[in-house]
Amino acid sequence: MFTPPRTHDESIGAFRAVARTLGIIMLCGACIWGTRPEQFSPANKPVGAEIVIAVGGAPNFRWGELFAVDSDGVVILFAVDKDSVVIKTNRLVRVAWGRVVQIKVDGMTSEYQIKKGKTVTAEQRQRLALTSRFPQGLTGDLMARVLVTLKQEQLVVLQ
Amino acid sequence: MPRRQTFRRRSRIVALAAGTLVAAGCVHTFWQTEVRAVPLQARADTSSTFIESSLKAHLKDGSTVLFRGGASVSNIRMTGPGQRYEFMGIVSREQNSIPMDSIIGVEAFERNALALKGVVASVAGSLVVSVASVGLAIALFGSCPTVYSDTGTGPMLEAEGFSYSIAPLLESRDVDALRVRPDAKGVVRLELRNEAMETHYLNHVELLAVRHSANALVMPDQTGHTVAVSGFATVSRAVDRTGRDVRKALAFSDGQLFSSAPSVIQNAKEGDLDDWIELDAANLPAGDSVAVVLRLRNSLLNTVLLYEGMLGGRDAADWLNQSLQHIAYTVDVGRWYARTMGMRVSLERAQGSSNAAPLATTRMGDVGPIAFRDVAIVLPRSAVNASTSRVRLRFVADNWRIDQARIAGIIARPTVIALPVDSVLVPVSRNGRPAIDTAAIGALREADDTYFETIPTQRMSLVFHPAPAGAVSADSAVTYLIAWQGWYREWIRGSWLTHPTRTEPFVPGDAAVLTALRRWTERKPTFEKQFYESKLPVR
Repeated sequence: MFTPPRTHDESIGAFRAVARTLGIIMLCGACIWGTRPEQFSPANKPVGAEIVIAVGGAPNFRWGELFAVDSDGVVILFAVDKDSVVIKTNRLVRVAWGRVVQIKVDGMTSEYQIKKGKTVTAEQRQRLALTSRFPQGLTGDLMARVLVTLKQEQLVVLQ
Repeated sequence: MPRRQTFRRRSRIVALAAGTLVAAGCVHTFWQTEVRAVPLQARADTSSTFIESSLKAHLKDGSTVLFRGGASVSNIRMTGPGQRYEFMGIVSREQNSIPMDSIIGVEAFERNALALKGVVASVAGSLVVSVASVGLAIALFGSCPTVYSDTGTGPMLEAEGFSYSIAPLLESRDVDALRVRPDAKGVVRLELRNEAMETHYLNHVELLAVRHSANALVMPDQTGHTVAVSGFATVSRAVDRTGRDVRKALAFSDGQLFSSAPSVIQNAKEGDLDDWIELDAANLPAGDSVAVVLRLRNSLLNTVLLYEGMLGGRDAADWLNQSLQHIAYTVDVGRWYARTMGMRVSLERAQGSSNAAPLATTRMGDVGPIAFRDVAIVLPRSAVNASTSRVRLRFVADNWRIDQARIAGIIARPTVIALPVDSVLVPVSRNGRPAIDTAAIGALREADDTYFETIPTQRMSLVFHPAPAGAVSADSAVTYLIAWQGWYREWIRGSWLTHPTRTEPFVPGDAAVLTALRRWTERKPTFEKQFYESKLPVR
């Protein structure tokens, strides 16, 4: 909004206030981008990264927590909208690579992204896996325990 | 020297110094977090290594131990101040040592600085001194990139791009129909400007060329896809929420703009912020769709929402730098904005129908308050070849200035030829001479990870070479559109810090919109004048 320059009297205190204000602007002009480990959830909690995924055949991007990555696909705990409020539904879904259009990882650079139209390499899968909740993989007993904890009868699979 | 003059002189010096540093462009520091697997030591290796990075150990029983300050790692155990979370647990307990044979794997989260990765700065000069002398506390004008063409009588504003993409995660692509024509040599030139207190990050720019019949208009539809519309019907009725007949205001593109009635604005409340316009079309030609063809721009309501709502607190920098860098929060904000703002267009049932629900609804996002945009909002008809249609345009009260509204009955998807940027010419570069910005050409040619950065007052010519049009018959024409993608960063205005308009964290919702509406209504005439007059001169 338009704010005319303040007319101060000739006090040094007023001058210093102006300098401090402009100093604040200078600090804000130092643009700091990106995520440091202390701001990255998986580095500070026992969770996987938040991701946004575009699934082939589904109209909108979906977001959720990355649970695991392997050669078959990704396992995601999906969040969905309900009455315009995003809530977790504890719905664990495996999305096969054939259905993955695009993945963006919250707070990470494009090296951790799966880009539209590009073939996913083993190196990319490995890099993405390290941001998941279970980088060691989620199969067998471990998967069974996860499903019990989430009160989900079986893993939903999108082939 | 009198004390008042001394004070003003000193203030000006500080302002100039600070303004120069800031206006020369942000000092970009790009951090990235990298995750790597920590190789576990062989049994024979008894040495111990201290790893400073944040570490996460995954144990065989499914639990996790976090060593946020790093840990000492040997072939026997990991030692350091740690927090253990049981399997799928959220509560932790202290655990400062774990045997290595209970660990499946360990991750390290490392911080790396990337200087200016993926950003190409323009070589264009900038009126740094002028920016400082305007006064950081005063400059108000904000937009996004603007594009002009030369009509022979001076520059003409053609379009503004990705008006609400204020953070990287909100990067978007806009398509705008242009009035530009190729010059005598068949070249299309557009002047790209940064006229605001913003840094613009352009990812991709291309020119779209569409050949079509002379009686059709070509423009983007509500999703940004190009459409050719013709077969305009009679608008037999156009009324707003108060019942006002607004046909005259909407009939022609004549500068007579529709805006919401004062009573609608006054009565807006949480849960009911909207105004609407109903249009009845008659004598539609045969077809299965209708297009609501609008020429419109936004009012400054959502500028007030942005500047005094979202950015109106002392936490503005954190909100831009931190909150909008995270997907979950940005998704929340984006979805709220998309639900609330913009325009919802619905195909209504015939009067007297027992069912009040519309037959079909679509939506269009805000287009920005600077340049008028032509857009065709396509909807199915109530029945194939139906000759009448009723549509309702619904929007937050006073969010739009609509110059013209028509209904078309013939909609076609023409062939679009995409033309990359051929050259970027800077009329005044940093060394004072014209230059070709070759780095910009590379950055703008593809929608990728390389962005072209511009700072306030910079301008440059984008040059396109369309293929020769060939024999253009009397019943065909070529329309050009610009397709551009990117995002921009608002510079934090001094007044947002010295005179914040909110002291609580920004909460997306009806209350925020209502507050912005009240503020906007109170000082509309002066705010509009100041906004458009504070556009920064380009060099």
